[in-house]
Amino acid sequence: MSVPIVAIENLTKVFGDVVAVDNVSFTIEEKDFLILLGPSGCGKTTILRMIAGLEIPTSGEVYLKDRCVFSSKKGIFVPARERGVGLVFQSYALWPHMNVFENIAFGLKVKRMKSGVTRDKVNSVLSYMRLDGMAIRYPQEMSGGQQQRVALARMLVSEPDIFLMDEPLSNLDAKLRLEMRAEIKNIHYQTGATTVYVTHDQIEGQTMANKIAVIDNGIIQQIDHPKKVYHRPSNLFVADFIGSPPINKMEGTAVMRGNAKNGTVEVKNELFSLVTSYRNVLTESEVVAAIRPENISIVSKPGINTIEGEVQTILPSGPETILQVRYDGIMFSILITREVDLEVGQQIYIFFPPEHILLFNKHSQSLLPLM
Amino acid sequence: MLQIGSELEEASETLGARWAMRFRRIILPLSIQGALSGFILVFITVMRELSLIILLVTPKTRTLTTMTFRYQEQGYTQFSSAISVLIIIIVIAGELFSKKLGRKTTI
Repeated sequence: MSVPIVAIENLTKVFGDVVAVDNVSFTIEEKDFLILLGPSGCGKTTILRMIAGLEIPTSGEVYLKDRCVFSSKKGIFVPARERGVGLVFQSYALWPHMNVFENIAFGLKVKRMKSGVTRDKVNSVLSYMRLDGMAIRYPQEMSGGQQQRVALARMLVSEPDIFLMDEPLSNLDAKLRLEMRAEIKNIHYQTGATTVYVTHDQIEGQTMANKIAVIDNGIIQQIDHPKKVYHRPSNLFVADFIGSPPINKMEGTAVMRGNAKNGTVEVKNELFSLVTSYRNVLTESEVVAAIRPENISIVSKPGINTIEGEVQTILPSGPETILQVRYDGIMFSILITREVDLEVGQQIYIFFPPEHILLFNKHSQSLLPLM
Repeated sequence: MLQIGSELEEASETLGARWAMRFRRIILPLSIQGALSGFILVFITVMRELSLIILLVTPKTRTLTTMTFRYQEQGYTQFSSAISVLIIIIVIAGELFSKKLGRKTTI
């Protein structure tokens, strides 16, 4: 175990009578890229601002590189300027009365660096961010993507220990966002700086992070590797929030087939029964079975875990096609990564592989263990 | 000054700037134009205000400000101070009232 670079303990922030962040704890190790992911208003930005020192927590503790920067118990609050963190804002927050060079050089001037050194550093970060020749431009004369690069350059030039980014890509168009995603990932790879990145875009979470914290209502629902969050979501909220099109869900009752040693759990409702790879679920308990759209397959004949549905919509998009198939009032989304020759209204057999079915407790909403 | 996005100031704070530096390098340059135009607006109003008051004043009706001035001239300092206090109370009441109105319309 390496030393945690950021450690947060029982952090709570209350605005008026709204609990924005509710007793959150987590640690981030060196070179981690953590994404705080959640719907708007879930408290993710507040957590980031409390790490930066721009928001004073109601209670809890924050440690940066083993140094306590906030503690409600010990009465410690280290201001943002002494925390050694770099922050990129959603709005970029470039100063309109300064040109690009002055914007980037500001942090070095604050540190009283010699003007020669400042010039060299700014010029090298300008060329690193492919902003050569832009030094004397003003922010309002640049495109959104260029402004974003300047904002990144301004953070990079001060060489902070920790990078904090607050939805840096949400003001960019789709193509530019893809480019900048690669750029930020590359910066992280080259600098190796511990990064905390806030977004509501679950694809950003999947593509960039090595750790995702899914947040809802000020509480961390799950913090894990992106693959784990995707394939083993800890509860129905996470399962629903991650993945596009969203996961398919069916309510039913768990029934045990065979004996406890080599039996299987079936999910039954008035329409169908599904065999799962679960071994031990409380019989007669109410469950929600869920399966990712890409795990449902189209088959040619009826069989186990197969139902006959009617194609409702076909949404082709280059390499993949999303199908919506209706079965007695339930709509299933299916993602197919090849071209399909189907028509709306056609009857097809769809198969739910038992190993891909996840079961959740209907009441607690949490994922049931396989064994 | 409230109109300057707080993020512009926060950005300089995370880069290590103390309050004085933030004020001098970020807030002041960005707000100087607004401050100047605000000053000019008030200045113009004040200039006009005096002429209006003079029109209102007759030997029978006097405004609080001219009364203060007259008492002060005649050496009744206590009277003029009392009226000044009255003016301050009226201004504060007006200010509070406008704030209350403002809150109602913004929410």
